[in-house]
Amino acid sequence: MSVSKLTKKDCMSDVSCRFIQLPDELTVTILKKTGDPKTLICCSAVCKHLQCVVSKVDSVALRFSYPGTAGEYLQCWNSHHHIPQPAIPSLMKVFANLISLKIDLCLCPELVPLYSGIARTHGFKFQLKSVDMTDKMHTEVCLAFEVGLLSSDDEGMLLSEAEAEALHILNVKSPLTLSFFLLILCYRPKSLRSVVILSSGLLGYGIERYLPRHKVMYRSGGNVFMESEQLAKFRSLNSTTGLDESWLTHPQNLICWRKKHEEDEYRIGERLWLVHKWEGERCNMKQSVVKKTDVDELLRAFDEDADEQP
Amino acid sequence: MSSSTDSPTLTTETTQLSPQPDTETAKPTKKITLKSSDNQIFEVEESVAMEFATVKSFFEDSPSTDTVPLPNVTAKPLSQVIEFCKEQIKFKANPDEAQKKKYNAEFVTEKSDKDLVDMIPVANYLEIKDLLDVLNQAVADRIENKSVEYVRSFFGIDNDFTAEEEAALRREHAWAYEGVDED
Repeated sequence: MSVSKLTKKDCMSDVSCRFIQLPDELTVTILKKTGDPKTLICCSAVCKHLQCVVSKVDSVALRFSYPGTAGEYLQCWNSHHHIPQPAIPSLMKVFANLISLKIDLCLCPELVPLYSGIARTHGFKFQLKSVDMTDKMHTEVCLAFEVGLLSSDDEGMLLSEAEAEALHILNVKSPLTLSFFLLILCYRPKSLRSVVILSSGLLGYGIERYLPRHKVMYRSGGNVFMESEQLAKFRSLNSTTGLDESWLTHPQNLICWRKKHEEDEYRIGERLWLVHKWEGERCNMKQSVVKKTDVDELLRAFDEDADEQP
Repeated sequence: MSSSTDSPTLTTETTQLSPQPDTETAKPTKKITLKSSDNQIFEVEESVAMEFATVKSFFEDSPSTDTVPLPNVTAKPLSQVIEFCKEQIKFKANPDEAQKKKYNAEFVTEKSDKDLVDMIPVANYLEIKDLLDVLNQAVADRIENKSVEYVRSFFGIDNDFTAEEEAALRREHAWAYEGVDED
């Protein structure tokens, strides 16, 4: 193969056009290394050849912010760039051979209260995964809501009263992110096989919090994840007596407990999360059992450690 | 470059590219001669030439050859590619990831846009994977968040869209034209 390659008399003459003559796969590799859809869109407007090469990109990650009620774009926590939502149809035309699509959906702080009536103090993490999109379209939605801070003292683990009000996860069964998914479905290229949408509200008990009942500052230590039945049980037990920590270590009573060990002057509290999962084919979504791996995935997707940096 | 008037340039090239290893080591190393498309001769140590997968398999197929013609490669990018590979050989002998990373970063930083773009087809043709990775990332970094016009001149590409087509693209993707970095 190499012999013919070396003896082949196909000297490329015009140096300036050599880039254009590179194999498409190589140019795609270079363009993908920018990791930036905005750069890809610009490249697609450089010349017809690059437009064609960009259309061969098979996976992209896009970041949107959810528009406010008036369609305006609100400031995000981070200074990163968002793609405006109305750009979706034209974007999908550019990436006509897309196979996998990853979307980060930033919900701005101003929007959190609008999010199905959930108070601003509740952090949440949402992941929607949809695979096998031509045939069965298996979709999984996993949603974690922060419902309170567990503080441990001599009396045991406590969930402060203010947070004991039930937060019905069913109210958030059709969150904004789902409507975003439907929008993607409308405009998706035929080649698309998988979509992952991540959304996260960073507010919550993330850094520290004052609990009046204990008159101390609490700093969140680990994260405790429960399903709704487990949470209900925990609440009823907790309202009568302080629960022993060992109750939480029983696998029946929670999905998992991600501990974090750090020494500082704050009292450590555990963030309590209510996790819910639905999955199914096409639009027949049924409630599903949350596994430890779901939580792992959810946390990994949001780079939990980065979120918690003060 | 073969005429006698060019000999000073040629001499510098040669000294630069083959720094008389024979005087340093007792054992003479085997040299391989590469000939660029513009008829420049490069004498490189066998170990360096073997970094070029294309040259390597050429030798495996016909071991008796003494000069390898590289009809697709001009002298300038070839000399830069040889420079890179020589360093990589040193890192192979004494692995030091941090130093290697530092060298690779400096290697691309000091190159002009044109040099980088010109080296990519050479690295691809000679199948030097490490160099290709380094170059691809460097080029990607240089075009990230730049304007369409910048990318065009970066790669030396002529615009073949009509004015109407271009205006339509600009309208359709207006958001991508906003907030690009200064050239």
